[in-house]
Amino acid sequence: MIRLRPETIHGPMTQPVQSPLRLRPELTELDHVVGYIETFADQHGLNSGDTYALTLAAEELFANTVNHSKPPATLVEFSLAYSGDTAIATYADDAQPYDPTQQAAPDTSLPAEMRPIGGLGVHFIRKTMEVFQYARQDGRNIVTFTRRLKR
Amino acid sequence: MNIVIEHAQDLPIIVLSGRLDTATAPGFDAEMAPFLAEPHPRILLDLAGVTYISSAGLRSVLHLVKHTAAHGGRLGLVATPPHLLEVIEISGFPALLDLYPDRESALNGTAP
Repeated sequence: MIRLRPETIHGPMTQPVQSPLRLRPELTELDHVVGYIETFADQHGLNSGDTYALTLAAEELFANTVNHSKPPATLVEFSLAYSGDTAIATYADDAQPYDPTQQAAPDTSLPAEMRPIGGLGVHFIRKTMEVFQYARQDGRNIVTFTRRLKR
Repeated sequence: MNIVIEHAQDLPIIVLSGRLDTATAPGFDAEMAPFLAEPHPRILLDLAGVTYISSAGLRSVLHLVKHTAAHGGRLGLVATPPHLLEVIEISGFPALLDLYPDRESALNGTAP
């Protein structure tokens, strides 16, 4: 996996196209995340596979915040930016420190009866994104993930 | 999300459309609960109208996989849209279920 320094990711060539999305950590807010990504996809002509992967990654992080953050987060921020041929997503919440990049990979070779009912979300992000990294800054969990766009 | 349970040749076919995600999967599970109270060794899940599925949705599919396996059978996915195949493959699901291009091949039991 490629590791980028924050200054590389948020360099001068990176233009955010929409202001960051601010969300209450409630499942009813998921529609806003989907809408935000679809708007970005329309503006930049993303193909359906790239749009799908970005939506999936954002949803998995948002679902983690909603279902597992303790004490519950009060605010989530999400933004997408575009740089060269890469989409750069930043996801932040104000919950207790939690680094999803350290979550163990699930065993996807187990038979049906032994398959655990969970743990796939972060696995998807790892498999579909080039960069997937975590930082704790100013009392917030900040997850950055990037995808090279195919067009 | 919309759910219809049809039957063909005594086989239940769950026809799903829309998004199966963190927000809608609990509703799908609730709707499936009375159906899964009866033993179904073989179930077909028609995904032709599904636009998006996340890990929460795959958890719901896994419930169906486990139900059929517990009764000595398997779940069949029918008409899975190509853009959903990547996550299904990443999840290792193809080893747990049968993938059919259409209902006809699923009902004929044609080897996937």
